[in-house]
Amino acid sequence: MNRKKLILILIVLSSTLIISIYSTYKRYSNLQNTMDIQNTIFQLVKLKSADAVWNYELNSIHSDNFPHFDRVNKAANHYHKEMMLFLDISRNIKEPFDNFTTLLPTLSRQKKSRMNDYLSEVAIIRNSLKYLDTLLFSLNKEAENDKFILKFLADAQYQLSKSIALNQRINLKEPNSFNQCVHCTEQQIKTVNAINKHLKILNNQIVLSHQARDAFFNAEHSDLLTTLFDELSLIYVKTDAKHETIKSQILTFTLILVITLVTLFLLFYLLYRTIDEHRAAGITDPLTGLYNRKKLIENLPMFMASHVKYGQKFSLLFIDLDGFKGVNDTYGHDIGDKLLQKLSTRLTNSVRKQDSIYRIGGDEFVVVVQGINNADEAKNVAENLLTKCNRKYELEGNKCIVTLSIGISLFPEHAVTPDDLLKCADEAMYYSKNHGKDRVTVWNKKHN
Amino acid sequence: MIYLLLNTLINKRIYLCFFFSCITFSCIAIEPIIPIVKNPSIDTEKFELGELLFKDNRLSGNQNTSCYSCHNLTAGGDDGLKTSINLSTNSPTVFNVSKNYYLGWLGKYNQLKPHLEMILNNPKVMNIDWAFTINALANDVVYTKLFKVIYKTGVSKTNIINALLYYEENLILPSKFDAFLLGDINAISASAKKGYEKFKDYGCASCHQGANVGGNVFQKLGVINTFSGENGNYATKTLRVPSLRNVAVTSPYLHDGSVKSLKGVIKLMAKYQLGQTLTDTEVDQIHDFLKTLTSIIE
Repeated sequence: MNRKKLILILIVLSSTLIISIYSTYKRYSNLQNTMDIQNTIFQLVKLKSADAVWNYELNSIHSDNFPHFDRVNKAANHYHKEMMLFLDISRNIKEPFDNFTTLLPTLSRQKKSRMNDYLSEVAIIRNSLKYLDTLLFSLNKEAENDKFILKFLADAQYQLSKSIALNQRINLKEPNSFNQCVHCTEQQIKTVNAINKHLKILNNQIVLSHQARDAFFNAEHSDLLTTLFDELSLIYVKTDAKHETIKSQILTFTLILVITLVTLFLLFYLLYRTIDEHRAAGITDPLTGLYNRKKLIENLPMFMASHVKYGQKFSLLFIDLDGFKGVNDTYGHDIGDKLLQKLSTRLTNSVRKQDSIYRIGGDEFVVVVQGINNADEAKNVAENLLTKCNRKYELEGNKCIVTLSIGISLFPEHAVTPDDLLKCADEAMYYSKNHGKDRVTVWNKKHN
Repeated sequence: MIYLLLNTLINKRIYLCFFFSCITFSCIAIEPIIPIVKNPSIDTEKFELGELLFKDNRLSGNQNTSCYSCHNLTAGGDDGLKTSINLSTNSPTVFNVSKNYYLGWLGKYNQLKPHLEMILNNPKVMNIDWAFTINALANDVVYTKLFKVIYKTGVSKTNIINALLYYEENLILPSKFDAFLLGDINAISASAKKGYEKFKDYGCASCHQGANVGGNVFQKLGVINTFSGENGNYATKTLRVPSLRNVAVTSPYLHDGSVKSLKGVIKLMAKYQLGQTLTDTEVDQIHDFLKTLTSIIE
């Protein structure tokens, strides 16, 4: 009874375990994929490096005699491409993260337009510088003897150097400027004015370009990239921790489930085994392993029914040992028991496959010979048994001889009930015993 | 000892490499214009399919306009009109268009694909009826054959756009000046060489630089002197600096096509963008230089 309760508990336990594993799995499948987050982080690293290249190219515009806007534009395009990829990959990441990703294109567009502003300023500065350089160079050549214009030119040259320094963010000292020409011709005054105008424009442009450059290096943009990185790392760590927890949960649950199921199986097996043993103990003879009387009484009606159904006959061979008591008395009960075991082995080996043997008493056996047409067939089987079993038995050095007295009754000729059939066989056996033993007798009305 | 020796050897080699790379790189970097070269491994079939589509009227809604209508491949890649039909701006050349970093006068697009899609779908320009076009091309033996060979999937919207893009991307046509930059000193005349020097000295090259001699920076007209146009109604706004490749064959000039002659526009640019009055000789020399930028068409 306890065992049955235990099994019930185990079944309930395993089903709850299965349900809990399923629910955990469901929770797990709803989770963010960590691979997605990882890929987003990798793409962000690429985006950051593209941004760095872009910044570098913008910084190095002044490193050539002529600025090459192709390179910085190429870097900007590359950044744009990486950004689109990043937005595409990070699309699936929920949480507050999408607020930042919507900000990114806006800031990037801003950065691009600021780059274009800066490039325009740089172009103007460059053309002013080139123009002034060419103009001052040619004027210097022309006005070799003109003291006043030379003085003005020297001042203009100084102003130009100041502007170049300012372009590199270096402030030079401001001297008394000599930006007018007192004794000049009208033509010369025109040139002087043009130069002054250009110098002024150049200075203004340099200030503007500094502003545009500062605007390009927008702290908000670089901060956003850093924030994105921090956010992503945080999301990754959180999700990964969740994954790990759930993974270990599932593992534990599964382990418990497996253990429970194995225990359950073992218990079932043991239960089956015990029941089988109990059943076997009730219908077999513990000494010889043959069926007992109970089984014979149980079986006979079934044999009858099946033989009636197929119109066949079967026969009961009632076997009694002659001289078994003598063996017991001479050699002891141990030897007697061994003799019975040996005999039952011989019996088992001598009968046909379909015949069954029962030990119904101390030295009484019954063999059911099935599927025969007449009593002679049964008699043949019985005579075969006689010859086989009458040989000497060697038991612990003792040679014993026992003979068999066999009585045969035939169903349905002699009797139609189990008890009558058994009675007939018994009577036939007594006839054999009384008429010299070691013989076979088929039941006859006379024996009654 | 051995380690030190090896180290110095390696260092020397690195320095040598640096030295040579600096020379080769600075040779190009010292010039404001970068030479262009044709793509050596071009898919001829795909390129020809793109050209066929480029010239096909059936790509437009009214069936009498093609890309070719405004980008005449035999006349410098533009239409020679003041402003294109139905549009308010002058048509730029299609040659070397992929070397531009910004497309169109306003520079709204920086990639060919969205720009091409815009042009095709624009009701003022192509106004394409995709269903009709795909059907018409699918019933054309020449097209079906070509599309099958190149794409497997046959005639479709994506494939048509892809072929056109491939054509545009590979329509790289170098000029005599590229040969000059690549070392052929006699490729251009002495006058053109002088013009190039002036072009650099006066600062034109500040904006007109890079592979396409422009097309990668924005600028307004009237940097030094305010420009208000010949009629005084020129609306100055920040526009993309146009490429100067094929400038000699793509008259008229400016975004509204208001200037007819190249010499006129050279003078105009010098005055308003540089604050400079050029002599006639200088104008002629720069004019000669600009003529060397015309693509060589075989």
